[in-house]
Amino acid sequence: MVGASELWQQMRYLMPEGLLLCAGLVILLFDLVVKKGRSLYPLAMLATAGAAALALLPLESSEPLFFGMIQSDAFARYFKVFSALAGFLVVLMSMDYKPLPARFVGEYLGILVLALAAIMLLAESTNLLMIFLSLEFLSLSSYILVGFLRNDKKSKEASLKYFLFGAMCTAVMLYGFALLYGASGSLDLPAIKAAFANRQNTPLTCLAMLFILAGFGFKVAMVPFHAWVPDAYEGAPTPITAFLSVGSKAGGFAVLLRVFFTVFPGLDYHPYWLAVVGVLAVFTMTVGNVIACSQDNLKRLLGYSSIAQAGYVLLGFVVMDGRFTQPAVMIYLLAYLFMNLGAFVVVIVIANTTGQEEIDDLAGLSERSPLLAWSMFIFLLSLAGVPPLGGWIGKYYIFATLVKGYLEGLSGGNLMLWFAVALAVNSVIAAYYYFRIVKAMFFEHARERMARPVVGGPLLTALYVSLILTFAVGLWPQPFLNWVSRMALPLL
Amino acid sequence: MLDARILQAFDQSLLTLLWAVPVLGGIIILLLPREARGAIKWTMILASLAACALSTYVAVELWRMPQATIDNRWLFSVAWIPAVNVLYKVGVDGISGPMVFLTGVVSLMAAIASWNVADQRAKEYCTLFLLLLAGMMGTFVALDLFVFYVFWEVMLVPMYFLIGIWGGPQREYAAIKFFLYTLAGSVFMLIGFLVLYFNLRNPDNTLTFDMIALARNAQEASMENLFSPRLQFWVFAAMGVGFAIKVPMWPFHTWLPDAHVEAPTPISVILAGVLLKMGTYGFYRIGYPLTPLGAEAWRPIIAALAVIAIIYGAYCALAQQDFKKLVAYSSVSHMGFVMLGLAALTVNGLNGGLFQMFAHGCITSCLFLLVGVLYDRAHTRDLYAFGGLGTRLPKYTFCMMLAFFASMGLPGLAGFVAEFMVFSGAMPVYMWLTCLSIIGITITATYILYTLQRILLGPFNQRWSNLTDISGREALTLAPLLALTVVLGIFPGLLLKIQEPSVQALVDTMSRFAK
Repeated sequence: MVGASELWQQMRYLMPEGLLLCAGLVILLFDLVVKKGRSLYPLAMLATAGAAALALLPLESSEPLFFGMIQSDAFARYFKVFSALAGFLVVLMSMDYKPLPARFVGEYLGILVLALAAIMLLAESTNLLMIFLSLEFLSLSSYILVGFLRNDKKSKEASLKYFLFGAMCTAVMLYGFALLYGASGSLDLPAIKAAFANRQNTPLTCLAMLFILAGFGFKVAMVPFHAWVPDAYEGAPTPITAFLSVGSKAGGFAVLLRVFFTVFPGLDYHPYWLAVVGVLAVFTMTVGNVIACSQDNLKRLLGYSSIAQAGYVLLGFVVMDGRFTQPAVMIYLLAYLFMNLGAFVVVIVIANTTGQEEIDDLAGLSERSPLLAWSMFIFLLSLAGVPPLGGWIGKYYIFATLVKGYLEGLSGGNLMLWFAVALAVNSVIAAYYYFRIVKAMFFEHARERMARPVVGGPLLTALYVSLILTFAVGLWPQPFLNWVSRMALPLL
Repeated sequence: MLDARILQAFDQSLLTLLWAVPVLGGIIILLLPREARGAIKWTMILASLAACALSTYVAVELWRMPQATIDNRWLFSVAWIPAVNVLYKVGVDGISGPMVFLTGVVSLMAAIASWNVADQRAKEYCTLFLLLLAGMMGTFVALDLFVFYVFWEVMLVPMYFLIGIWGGPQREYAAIKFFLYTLAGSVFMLIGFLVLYFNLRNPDNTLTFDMIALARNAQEASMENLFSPRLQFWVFAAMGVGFAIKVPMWPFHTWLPDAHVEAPTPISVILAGVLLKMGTYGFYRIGYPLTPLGAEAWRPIIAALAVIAIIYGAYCALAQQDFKKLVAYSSVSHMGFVMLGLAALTVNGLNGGLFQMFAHGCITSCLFLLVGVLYDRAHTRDLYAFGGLGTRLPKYTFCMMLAFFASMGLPGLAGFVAEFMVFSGAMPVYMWLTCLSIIGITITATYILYTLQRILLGPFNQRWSNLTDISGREALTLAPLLALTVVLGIFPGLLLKIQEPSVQALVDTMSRFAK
């Protein structure tokens, strides 16, 4: 058995999430005792920045930790850095978010920081129970954060819808876990994998896989588990919308990668996987893109756009080629982090100025604030996958994965070519609605009494960080690609 | 010793400078205050002038080389993204060299012609203009598919804004239509590129985006039946859609009349003068050498579409009442000749196609400038609103006659040389199609003479009694283009000498795959 001292030794792998958990509790405590509202922001920033720094330390272990509950490998470390970085930017974005009442800041930040720790735990869990617990941890904190604007009907509705939907999907996922346990006799991912080694695919494992996909699909906003997205995105405080679209989604993809790369390669299930995930991915991006075309609310539009983006990333899963799939998904998520958060920064500034988040509120932004307009333009261009920006590198990888799968004659290869064509068509549809925003910003003129947007220090910092990194990933992708391929899960 | 090293460094960075100088100009403009409109516009013109000077130097040096092949002293290559085997590789030869020169000249003229347009939102206009110039130059010198794609897309964005902000009444519709249409083409082009990338491995089993290496691999693989004709057919189709939309080939031409008509004059000049050539250039540089069997299979279809474009475009031009739309449709028709020469795949056909790209670039730019001159004064482009201007505006009439006759293909001017070469190249291969396309010449003559008649001849409309003749600045933009048209009409050898070796090499390569 593992001794107490050894457990203590293993704690060092959990420093980033440990720091965040402590910080979360301290913030809540501070809020309870001292009630200092805004002064808690620096604490949260320090905690997220510290967690990012700790996660960057090369502390990895390929051994299972804590009785096989957790594996703190390079892959987990990647998502720890990712989540801490996203958290840092979200905290910056929250500082100047006006609708947030000052007296709730403590609770808000505390729960946000805890949610970040939940993403980290999710990315490193190697046990079905642990996965379930961290997923629920993340979901529960998200429900609260979405409903944080207590006096706002939309926010309350959003939270309730999100909760009901989440509860159902998680229940289905749990059923999938149970089936998996029944089929293999274990909850540990490596043990499940060993049990499945060289076994034929059975209806039971297929069903388990589908049910599990429902739970993870809910987190990443995959069709048909996407219905919560528009309402939750619109109703939630905007920084939380940004957090959901990036952090929570990345958590979903991390666990999806880990489970499907550790458990299922033993099974001969590829054709099923290809058809199910591929078709769902195509549906996801098509539904997201087509509906986004008719949205007038920026948050809803970006919500549908994030559904579509999830579809692009999911296409990366279709080809189960470890050398390619993981870097494709991981680099896409990295680019997506910066471009999507950047777009939300602009939305926050606009909402602070006009009190609304409609496309019309952006009218003539290029005259009122060239910096904001051009930054937003760069983020949208990157989301549309136009070179030489970060989003394009991600999209390139997804395209490359599909074409490679097709040419290597994997089973169902022809289908992959059609997926690539679907992705191409979707890119054009997406460009249409991203450019609706561009049109408003550059071609239309500001209405009277539209104030010049004022960007404060924290938002400006978040804007510049997103902008620079969106450019950096596109113009000089080599270091990022190296990093991503180093952090990928070991091939089996 | 030091001099030699400096010279070598200059040679290696020359092609990079072609696009870096405009980018640098753009950055300088961004640093200037918004109100300093004069300085901003002068920066744009000077940066374009620098790019034009560099491109002229390239053209002259290419002409002086005994053989203007791609492995000349400017070929430069350095790793950009080793993780995906992307090289930053640039070079020019007889195919891209004339295009680089054309880009330099036409852009400088467009920059000068922008003087008034750029008054509105000067900073944005000038930056976008220079970015567009950088994208065009980069596309023509790129020798790596990935880099080519990046520049190809970089060009789209400024064009969208330049049409959408500074364009005519329907500008927003025209801008988004142009953008989405071209984007749709280019994503399919990307799929084609990726198939080439993964399918054509180097002999040492590494992957590459390098066009020269890919061309060699494609030819070897085709010889050894490792690159199936069926796959090549589809790859050529995927890339061809991207190129064909840019050309534009019938039936992908519908964005063109909208974009050309709505764009402000200098941008129409660039669109028609340079952007359309990217499509045909893509066929020369990528479509043919990289998928030889695919090209072989598609050639008859391209020829047929080209003839449709020639005749259909000419008929459409004949039917127009809007002066600018007429010129726009004439581009559809004239680019058809390039595609016909390309489809013929003979030395004369390919040479004629390339020559037509250059000639059309000069001529159609003049035509758009002339439309602009008239529109700036009269604020209408209705062809029936004018008449009898010939006696009142002698200088304008001179330029217009020259440009229109060149467009019609009058001997002694550049258009004639190009069309003659295309016909003589295509005749032995597609006799009936070539005969059909000669109908296009007749219709062209009809609409051109009819237009000259409507504007210059007939009774003078007193409404225009205070129209002024061409100003000095306008003359400055027209003169070099007209001069090139005349000089190349009389001495076509100047350009043909540059083109010849590359075209010959392409024909030799392709002849190995002819059925």
